Amino acid sequence: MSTYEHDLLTARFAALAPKALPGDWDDVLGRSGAVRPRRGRPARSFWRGGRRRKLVVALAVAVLVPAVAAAAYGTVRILILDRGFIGLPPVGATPSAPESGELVLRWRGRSAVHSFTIPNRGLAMPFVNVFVYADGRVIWHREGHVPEGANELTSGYLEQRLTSDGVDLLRSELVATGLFDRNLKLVLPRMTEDTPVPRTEIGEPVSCWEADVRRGDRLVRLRCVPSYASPSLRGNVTPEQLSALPRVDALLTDTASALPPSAWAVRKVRAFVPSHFAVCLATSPPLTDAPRRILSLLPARAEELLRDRSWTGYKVSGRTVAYCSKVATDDAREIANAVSGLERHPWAESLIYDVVKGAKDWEETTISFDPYLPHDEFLLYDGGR
Amino acid sequence: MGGLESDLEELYRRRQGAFQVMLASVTGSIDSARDVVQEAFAQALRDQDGFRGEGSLEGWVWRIAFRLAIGSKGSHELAVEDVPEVAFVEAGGDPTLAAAVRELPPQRRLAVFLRYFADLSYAEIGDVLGIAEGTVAATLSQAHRQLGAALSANEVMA
Repeated sequence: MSTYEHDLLTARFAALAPKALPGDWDDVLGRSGAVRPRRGRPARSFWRGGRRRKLVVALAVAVLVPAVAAAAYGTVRILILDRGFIGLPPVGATPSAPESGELVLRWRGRSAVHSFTIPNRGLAMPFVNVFVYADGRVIWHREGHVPEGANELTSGYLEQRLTSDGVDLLRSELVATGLFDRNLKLVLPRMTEDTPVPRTEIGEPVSCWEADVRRGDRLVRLRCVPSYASPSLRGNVTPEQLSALPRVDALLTDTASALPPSAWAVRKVRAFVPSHFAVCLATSPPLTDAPRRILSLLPARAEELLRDRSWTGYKVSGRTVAYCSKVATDDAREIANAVSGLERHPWAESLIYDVVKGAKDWEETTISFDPYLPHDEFLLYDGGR
Repeated sequence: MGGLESDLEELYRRRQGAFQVMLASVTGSIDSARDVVQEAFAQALRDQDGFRGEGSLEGWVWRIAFRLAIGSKGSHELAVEDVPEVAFVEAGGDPTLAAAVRELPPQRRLAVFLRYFADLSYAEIGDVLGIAEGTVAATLSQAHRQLGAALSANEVMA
């Protein structure tokens, strides 16, 4: 379903919505048995940016065939993909090198820099993951349309490369914001009806996210959260800190614009081709004797390829448990081929097949394929939202 | 009462209308839905220890509200696996859509209502229903396909 179709359905539902009656908080207090006198009314909050609103609706998608640029250097053939992809890369695609990398900067969260307005629904902010490595690689993944992206819903994992000086420059620019001297959690202020999204004094919107900057042998983390994210949180951000947040957003999620051309070794965007994939068997609700029982449900060839592997269990969310194994890309492709007869899961941002569908929609067992990043981490399904 | 009360009040002021509209599709009228919303927030205030911070505050209140809404129709217990039956209160304005939605299985219909009436994101729907975000996407995708097939090609799926 496209955003257009989504908006049409939204409008048709809205037309059938009954008109809500006025609320009465004092009545709620009375029903609860609260007897304290009413204090002054707190500022009304119409925070929207903190709610994790997907910009687009996932649909079954055709696997896009990435455009391929190929060049021969001596006897070594280099196959560079100039678009992101979902699932396994084409055979022969050149993996990102080196295989491992030291993570020096990271961003995870919604980006106000890339925000746009949806009529009658406010400001939409796409979810972005960015990983910057000491060797200069900038690997990123963004929700929504990206020109070099895998499809209209997600970029897939993309890669650019900074020079060594470019990495230092980016890191020093981030440190200069004054927000990375120590681990810090900034709680944004409660918003009002007139300002539903936090803004700096000059009106820039601010989103919520977390970012890491390597300082010596450790990563210093800055978390920015809305006060609404949890009870007991109260806004603690100073005007100066609030003003610095968009700069961090711009530096990490729009690095190509934020840094001069001289900072780049390869500014052109290409696909990130991993050396390994996480092959995960996920089940909801949890099964006893997993993952062995899940393996027995796979096509025979897939079961044969996976049976002797080691598995690590993860609690994903809700009642879903995943068992994952690190698999070289070529082996992952063979496994994916072996399960390709299963029904493709309609989740546009990752390659997932349904192994078993339960009686209810959310009772399911799946096998999925997600890229391992150079710092030996993977994000299950969708970039880790 | 401390910080949680303020958060509940803020949630109420911001979202009580959406709660009413959504719950009217369970209780059958906006009046009874409003009563459920009032009682749900009151119950949340009384039982603040029940919120352990494992999910969102809003998701916790939605679960209380659904239990109460189903109770208001005669049943008093809501098992985790139970799926509230939802329907448009006034379908006359768009009988084609109402008929198409009525044909959805209960869990898909609930997900669609949570998406379009309650204006919840996939993650929030997953939090309310206790399922993974990807599963919400799958459920809604199936619902969209079914709705698309039922509605005329130049209406929703143009």
